[in-house]
Amino acid sequence: MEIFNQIAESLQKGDHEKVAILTRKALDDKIAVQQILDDGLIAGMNVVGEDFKHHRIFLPSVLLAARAMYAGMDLLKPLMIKEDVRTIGKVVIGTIKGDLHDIGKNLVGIMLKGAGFEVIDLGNDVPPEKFVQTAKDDNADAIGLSALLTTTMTGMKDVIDLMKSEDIYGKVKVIIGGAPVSREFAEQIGADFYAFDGMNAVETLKAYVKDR
Amino acid sequence: MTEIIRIKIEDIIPEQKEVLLNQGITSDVVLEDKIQNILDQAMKEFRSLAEPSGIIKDIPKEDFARIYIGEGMNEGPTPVADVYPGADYLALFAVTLGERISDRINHCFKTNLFAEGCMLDAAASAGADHGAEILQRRYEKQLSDKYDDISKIGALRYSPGYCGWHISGQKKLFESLEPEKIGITLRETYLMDPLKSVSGVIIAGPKEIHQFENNYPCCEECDDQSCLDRMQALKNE
Ligand code: B12
Repeated sequence: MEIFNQIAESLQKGDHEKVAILTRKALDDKIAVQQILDDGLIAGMNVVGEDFKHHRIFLPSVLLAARAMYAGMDLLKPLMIKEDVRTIGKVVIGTIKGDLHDIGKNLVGIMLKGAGFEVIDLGNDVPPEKFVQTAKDDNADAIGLSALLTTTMTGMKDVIDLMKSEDIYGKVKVIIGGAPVSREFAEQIGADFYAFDGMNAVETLKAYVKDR
Repeated sequence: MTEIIRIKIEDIIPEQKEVLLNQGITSDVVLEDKIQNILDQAMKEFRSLAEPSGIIKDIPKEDFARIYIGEGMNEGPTPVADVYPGADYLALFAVTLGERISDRINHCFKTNLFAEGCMLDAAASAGADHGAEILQRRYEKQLSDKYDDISKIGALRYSPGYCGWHISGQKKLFESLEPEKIGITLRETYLMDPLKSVSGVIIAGPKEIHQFENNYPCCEECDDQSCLDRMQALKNE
């Protein structure tokens, strides 16, 4: 349908006002929320993601597109809850206790949301209890942990230990990232996945929810 | 002697190409107008929000030896351990851009201005580094009275968390320097508040002391090649 292309194209251009107008129009035309989301917003964001991955566009353009996507999502969200529209997965994300660094985690959250995940962002300086409790309460598929320093990344293990004692380890997956973190470190502490950036996190978690 | 330095914003404004490079955009890329506008706006905000200040303290080599050992967590031989014994003068320093710029970045993300927030963040990270550079240059200048031929002398800065100096070194560094005087506090995790802050030691002495082969154990896990650039720049000076 033409309207989906228009939404996707406006989103790729980072035109948040137009995306909001078009999304509103689609809703007025009684198009299903799920379809507006999948064929308009997420389809547009997928193209943006691919373009970014292949260096055809750069981070600021991706972020403008993300803002446009959020403009559409804001209109869909109340209806998604009402109509129980399913996202492809739910991720609780945050920066480890004792760490203030937000930017990397924010970027990952934005990319995941763009790919169709529901993201619950707990912010920074987040204690293990809050990660685990939120994951339980909201029935999350994964917890995403971010850290800036080698001293704060050790807090990731505290989250995993608490998940074990609360019996959600293995059921809720753990994905970690941040400047000092590596794949080896992820293995060492028992995290399920490591991703070096937002796109990589999207690919990793998409593969996981697909195989599940 | 400890000195508190109000740094002029004009002295730390990053170049546009640095801000872009921090976001993976190389200088050959032609920017779309809307992205150029975001960049211009970020530079404007940087000017109005950054509150750069620094603190610097001369420190005898023996005292630095104690600070360097820190909590005893440095791993084996390290570049810093091999460089500082050759120094003539050392000074601890810390610099911050203050809280306002980080507050603005957070606000941008909260209000979906992601590209704007990211641009300002990249500018602020570069600006914090420039602040440290300013303190180093200033220190170098002050040393010129102490030497007959300053051209043979090199001052470079080293920070906990880099070049084998374990980040827990922040604790003893803070105890001695007291960066709280300019509003920087240290968390238990050794993270500094505000985020856009840099700490370390400026080591001054014959240029040769700063030259090392990057084959220390700590170099193995490090993908930051800036030490090589700094050594080369010092040689070319
Ligand atoms: C910019 C920078 C700074 C800035 C501030 C950081 C900031 N972002 O605000 C400034 C210049 C102020 C700074 C200061 C310091 N820094 Co610094 N800094 C960096 C640098 C160069 C880039 C970090 C960055 O912001 N990148 C951009 C963002 C977008 O990337 P990111 O956060 O890594 O996130 C991406 C990925 O990691 C991943 N990701 C992140 N989170 C998550 C979460 C999940 C779930 C997933 C899947 C993925 C993921 O995806 C993100 C998007 O691509 C890194 C080196 C590096 N190459 O990463 C060092 C680095 C982080 N700094 C380091 C150090 C040591 C310091 C200082 C302690 C130095 C000092 N003594 O002054 C201080 C500490 C500051 C403080 N407040 O305490 C070390 C840390 C090593 C260690 N031992 O812990 C690093 C790794 C450099 C090094 N030595 O190799 N720093």
